[in-house]
Formats: sequence, structure tokens, C-alpha cells
Amino acid sequence: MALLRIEYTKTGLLRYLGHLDMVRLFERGLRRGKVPLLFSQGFNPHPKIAFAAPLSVGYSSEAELVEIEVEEGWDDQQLETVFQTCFPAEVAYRRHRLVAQSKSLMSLMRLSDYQLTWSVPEASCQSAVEAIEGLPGLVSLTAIKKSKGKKDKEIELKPMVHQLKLLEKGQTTVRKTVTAAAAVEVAVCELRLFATLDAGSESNLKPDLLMAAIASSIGLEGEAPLRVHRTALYGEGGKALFEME
Amino acid sequence: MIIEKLDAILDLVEKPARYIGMEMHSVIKPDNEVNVRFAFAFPDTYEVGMSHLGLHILYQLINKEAGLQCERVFAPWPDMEAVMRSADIPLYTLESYRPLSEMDVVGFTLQYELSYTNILNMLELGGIPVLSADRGNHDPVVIAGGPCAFNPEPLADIIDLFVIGEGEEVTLELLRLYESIKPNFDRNAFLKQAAQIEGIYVPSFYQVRYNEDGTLAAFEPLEPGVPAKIRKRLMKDLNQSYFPDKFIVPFIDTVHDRAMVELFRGCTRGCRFCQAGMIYRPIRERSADEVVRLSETLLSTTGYEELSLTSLSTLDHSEIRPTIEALSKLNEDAKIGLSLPSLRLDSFSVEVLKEIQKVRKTGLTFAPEAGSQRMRDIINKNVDEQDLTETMRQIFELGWDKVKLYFMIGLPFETMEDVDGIAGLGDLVTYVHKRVSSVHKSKGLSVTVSASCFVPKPLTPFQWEPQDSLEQFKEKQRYLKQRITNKKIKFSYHDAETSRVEAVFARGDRRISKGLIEAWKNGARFDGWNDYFSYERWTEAFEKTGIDMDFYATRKRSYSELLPWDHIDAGVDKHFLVAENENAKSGTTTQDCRDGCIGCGVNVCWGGLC
Repeated sequence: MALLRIEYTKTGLLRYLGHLDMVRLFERGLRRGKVPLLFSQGFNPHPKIAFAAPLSVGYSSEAELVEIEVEEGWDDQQLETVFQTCFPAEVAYRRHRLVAQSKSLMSLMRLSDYQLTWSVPEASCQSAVEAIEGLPGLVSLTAIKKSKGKKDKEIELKPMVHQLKLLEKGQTTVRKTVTAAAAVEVAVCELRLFATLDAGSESNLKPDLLMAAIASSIGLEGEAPLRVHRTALYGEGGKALFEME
Repeated sequence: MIIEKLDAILDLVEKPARYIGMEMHSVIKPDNEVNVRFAFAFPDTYEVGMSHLGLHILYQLINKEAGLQCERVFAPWPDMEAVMRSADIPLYTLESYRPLSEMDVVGFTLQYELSYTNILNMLELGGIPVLSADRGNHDPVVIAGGPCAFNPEPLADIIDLFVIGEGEEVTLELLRLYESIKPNFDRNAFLKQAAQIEGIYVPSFYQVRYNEDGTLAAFEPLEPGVPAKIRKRLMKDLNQSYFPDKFIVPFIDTVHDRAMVELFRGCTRGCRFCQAGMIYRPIRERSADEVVRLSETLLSTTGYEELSLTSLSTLDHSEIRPTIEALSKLNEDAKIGLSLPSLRLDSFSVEVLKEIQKVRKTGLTFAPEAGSQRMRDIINKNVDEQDLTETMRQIFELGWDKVKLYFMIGLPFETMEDVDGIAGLGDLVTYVHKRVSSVHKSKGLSVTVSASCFVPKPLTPFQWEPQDSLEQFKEKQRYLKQRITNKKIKFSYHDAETSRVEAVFARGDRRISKGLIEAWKNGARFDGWNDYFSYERWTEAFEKTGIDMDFYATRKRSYSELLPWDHIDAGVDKHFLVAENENAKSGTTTQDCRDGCIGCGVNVCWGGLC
């Protein structure tokens, strides 16, 4: 048995694939590429493929991680070719390495970096910038977390935010904002942000929830589309997850 | 550009991956290599359409041809439709992201009548006039094929031309014809030439006259040289016919998310209610070697972990044993699951199940179709209680414990005793389970008895028979609900109203398209989906357009009546259908035509093909 840790991207329109779609894509892509996968035992054998952290539908990434178990002795130098020929271009190979049996990626993961593009109506732009810059000084920032079948819960976000900084304030442009009911023209400014947030099975904060909390703290109603792009995954102590044993 | 607009709106809809394309083995040719763009249009969701074998066959067949590009388009779910309308995005294809209006030919597949409103909606969303008469030289040619095209009349005002029968050869002939006259394209000239191709029906070249009582008086060609009868197309030798070596592999879960290999076309059983069993005659098999070869190729190119052997009654294939043995080896070597769409009630089915489901035991579905022996003789379903008892005993002994039995209510000549037999068979199954003693027997048992409402279909022996009224259906459903008290049996039944609307379209004529258009204008779409079907909308639309639903659904026709689809020649002789209807009345069964020719007429049409 050999355990391969692979870093790959998820970009373009394929960011609309859900986690289960990605699981299927990997299973079938690796089968197409004749990678000798190992299977779980039991009634319903499944190839051993384990992802670090599901990426929400609509988020793109340049640094996703997955581990696959393959037969000992398989020439893993073929992996890049397998991606080039059997995977869509938007799910691209970046690098891989052989790892010893270790804890699962999911349990090792602690943090993620994100690039965020937040389109805020011009009228709220200044207060949005102030709220983002004022975040470190806040004692508390709460949000209501809705989960299926459970009561809505108020959670404290502050300790889960390790960094949120404004990289750039874009030009104001007139944009057509579409909803199911209508399309309206609004003047929006694009805020480009960088965030480091808790991620993983212990504690997880989705950028959507953070930005929604900020929006509500400044009374920003309505549409403020957020584009999320993940750039890095980390383990304990901010160590690159790809490198961890 | 549509693709840029998409980027901004897909966050707003559920299952956005339905609308992006880009799957493995989808084909996108550079613009300068495309002479004719054809959109394969499936009037239902992506998940339903991508499960359709015909789509995969035609898609790869057309795309392997130089100069031709086949693209795909599906019906957007209402949330996406709303967003597309407000963002001014026309319905587009998943390959070149062009609006439908920029295609040369748009081809709808007609799999079920309740998808017809989606056709109108897709045309309008794609920027194509809904009525054939309103289309000009710059609009695409709108064509349709598939099983429901065997009664094309309800869509005669909407579709420019129909393809009757199997599409592999005729679609290419049609697209090549288009290509040859594209530089000076003239719609009427194209349709005239197309009408000369066997299997092509151009409804605007024919006129219908009616009697005072509303029945058809005459059906006549208007153009010189168009055929009075349109004979279906078929592939004579399946081993020589095209079958794809790859399928598009969807990203999202679809209804049938697996590789499919077609074992044969046609069916020899002769069930009298079954349209597929009549219109796809004669039987044509693919050889075991060819099936195995195709299976291996498809699994390797798609990466699928499951293979389905599709056909109307798969286990009837004459080389089914060696086929399944060879394929089960794959199962063990590469962890490939094998699935069969239909199981017969006999011990051979059990043997096969033992072979292909060694570990995981899924639920099993069987179709006795009717509850009493009398009724099964009427419909020519040659299965008896002994078959059911024996098969159930064997599967329970082997440890299966989930069984679904599929029935129809409202079959011709049915009495309440026959309906009662449905409940009786459910009880029988639980009784058989109780009496089985085997180490593998599972303690629990779940039996689902499902009853759908019968819809008489064109070109079957029951094409003259009335459908049950809503009241009759409901009384039968009520009866069964009360009668089935057995705790181990779950009773499920289909909405009678949807079957009634389906029946109107199944045997409709040209006049009912007015009702269709009216219902669509009032918001009808996705009528096959419970969440969107509204019976009131349909009754109002038919009332407003002066269409009497009973005339189409519950009226008994005489053998001498000119039927709206009598100009369609499926190869099966009308005298045979009459004889089979008479046999039904007297409860006389007809043998499987593998056991000897029953003289349906197909053999004459194609010179001793079967």
C-alpha cells in the first residue's frame, strides 16, 4: 500500500461542483487513468480517497488536498499525466508526495487562507471598509448559525478569525445585480480581502458567515455578492498541511 | 457572452452544475470545423436527460462526423428559468453556450407526453417561435423523435418535422441534407426534400378533415410526392450499428448514473398494453461478444463503477448466460457493479441475481402488472401465481427482504375482483415469506405494492379502449387503500389526474395543441413533476380552447374509426392489433414470438427480419 497526498485546484465554473460531485470525479477520473486504487473492505467496497476539507459550492481553490491509497509499487510519477488526460482542466494537478500512514488530513487541518472579493453597494462601501479595519478592535462578533434539524444557534466568530485585511478597494462600477425577481443596476465597489480563518473538523468558519455578520453589523441589507477563493490549508501551528506527517 | 453572465448568476440557483456543461467526453469542436450545429434537446432536467441512452448514442454518433456538432440542452428548473429571464439570458447549449436560436437544427426527444409544455418553454426561452408556421429561414429547424413521435399529431403545429423510429441513420441523413443546402437555405425547400427521406414526417404537408362528431374524416397529403404513410426507420443489424465507445460522464448525480449497454431492441413478449413492445419490433440482438467488448470499453473510458444492461426485457437475450458470466468477472476484478433494469418472475432471474449480487442485497422490483389471472391473460402477461410464489420463495431463502411489485389499475375490462387481486398478491408474498425457513432468511420484510393508472397508447391492441374516468380510478385506489391492511405492505399509487392528461395527449389529434399552448401560457411546465403539475390549470386550458378531455381519454373508439396516427406505419399490422384486442376480450393469450411467429406483420415489412 502507498499513500499519496495530492494538491490540486478547483477553478472556473467547476467551482459549482459540490463535495460529493468531487468525490465521484476523483473516483472516476482515477479509474479512467487506471490508477490501481485500494478499496475498503465490507459490503460496499469503496476506493480509499479522503479529502482534507469539503469546499463549499461556488468557492474556488488553488490548494485543495486529497489522499489516495494505491497499490505498492505503482509509479506515482504518472499522476500528473493522469490528471492531464482524465480530469477536466479546472481540476488541475499541482504537486504530490508519498506520505507515511498518518492521521487523516481532515483531523490535521486547522486553518485556511482565502482571497475574498466582496461587491458592496457604493453607499455602504465606506462603512464596510471601516468595519473590516475595525474588526481587530472588536470584543465580539456574533452570527446566527442555521443548521438543518437543529435550533438556530448564536455563535461567537471573533476567535475563529485570525486575519482579515483589505488588500485593495476597486473602482466603483455600475453592475447589473440579478435576483430571481428582477435585475437592477447598482453602483458597487469591489473590496478585495485576504482572510485566515479556522478550518477543519475542530472549528470551522466559512467566509460567507463572517461577511454576512459584518454586513449585518453595518446594517447592509440586500445583495452583496461574495466570491471566495481558497489559497492555502494549514495544520497545527500554521504549518503547511501538505508537508505535515 | 452567455458564459460571462452565467458566472454572475449561478450562485442564485439550486444545483448550478446542471447548467455548466464541461463534463468528460463532451465534445466541443472549433467553430471553423462546424458546418451544421444540432442541439439534442431533452425536455426535462439535466439529471433525467443525461440518464437517457438515446442521447448518448446520438451525441457521440453525430460528433464523430466531420462538419457536424451535436450539443445538448435541457429544461432549466423554474428557479433557473426565473433568473435567466431577469438577467436576459436565453436558453443556451452546454457545449458552445450559444442561444438555441443560433442552432441550425434543434431536435427534441419525446419520451413522455407530460414533457410537452417544457418543449414550448424551451423554444421560447431559446428565442425560437413556438409555432412552426411562425418560423422563418433564419430560425432553426425544429425536429422531434422518440416513442411519442409515433403519435406526432398533438405537436403537429409546433414541430417542423418528425423522425419516426430509430434515429441513428436518419438523423445523419437529415443533417447532411441540411449541410448541402445551407448556403442558400430555404425552409420550405428543405422540408420538401426531407419529406422524401424514409421515416420523416412533415405535418404541414398534410391536412386533416373532421366529421361532425369530432372524429377524423380524412388525412390527406397537400404536397405532391409526400408519402401517404410514413414508415418507421430501424437498424437492421445491431452488431453493425453504431454504439458509442464513450459516454459523457456527468459531474452531478443523475437518475441512472452508470454505463449502459443495449443488449437488444424490441421485445417478443407481446404484452397488449405496452407501446414499446409494439413499436420497437422486431427483436434484434447484439451478440454476447459484442456486449462484453462494449462493456469493457465503456467502463474503461468513463471510469464508471456500475454497468447496466438495458433492454425491454433484458433476461430474454438468447445469450444472456455467457454475457452475465463474463461480466461478473469484471465485477470481481475491478469492483464493478452490474445492474439489470427489469427482472422476470422466474427461477432464472434468481440465478442471475445470485451471480451479480453476492454481497449487497438491494431491493428487487417485479412487475406482475395485474392482480388476477383473468386480467393477466387479458393483457397477455404470461406470468401466473405459481411463478410469483416460487420466485419469492427463492429470493427470501437467499436473504432478500425488500420487494416492490408493480401493477396497473384501469386496464381494459377490469372488474373490482381483478383490483382486489392486487391486494391478494401482496398478502401472498408476505405469506410465502412467513413459510420460508432458511438460514439466510431475513427477519424483516418490506413489500411495496405500487399501482399506476393505465393510459391506453397508440399502436397497441388497446388503442381503441377507454381510459378509466377519474372517479373510477379513485374508487379503485380507495378500495385498495382500505383493503391493504397488512402491516408489511406499503401501498403507493400514482395521481390519476396526471394519467388523464397524459391520456389526452397520447391519443390526441392536431386540435389539442391549442390546449397545450394555453396551459403553458398559464404557467404549465414540468408536468411530470408532482410539485408543478396542476390539474386545474389543464382543465381550464382545455375548457377555454373548447377541447373535451373525455373525447380523447375515456371514449371507446370503433375499429373503423380513422385514428390520428393511422398514417404512421410502425410495421405492426392494424389487423393484428384488432385480433389481439379480440383475444384480450376473450382472455386468450398469445405466445411469445420467440416460440413461433404470431404474424404481427413486421416480418413482412422488412423481408423476414425476425
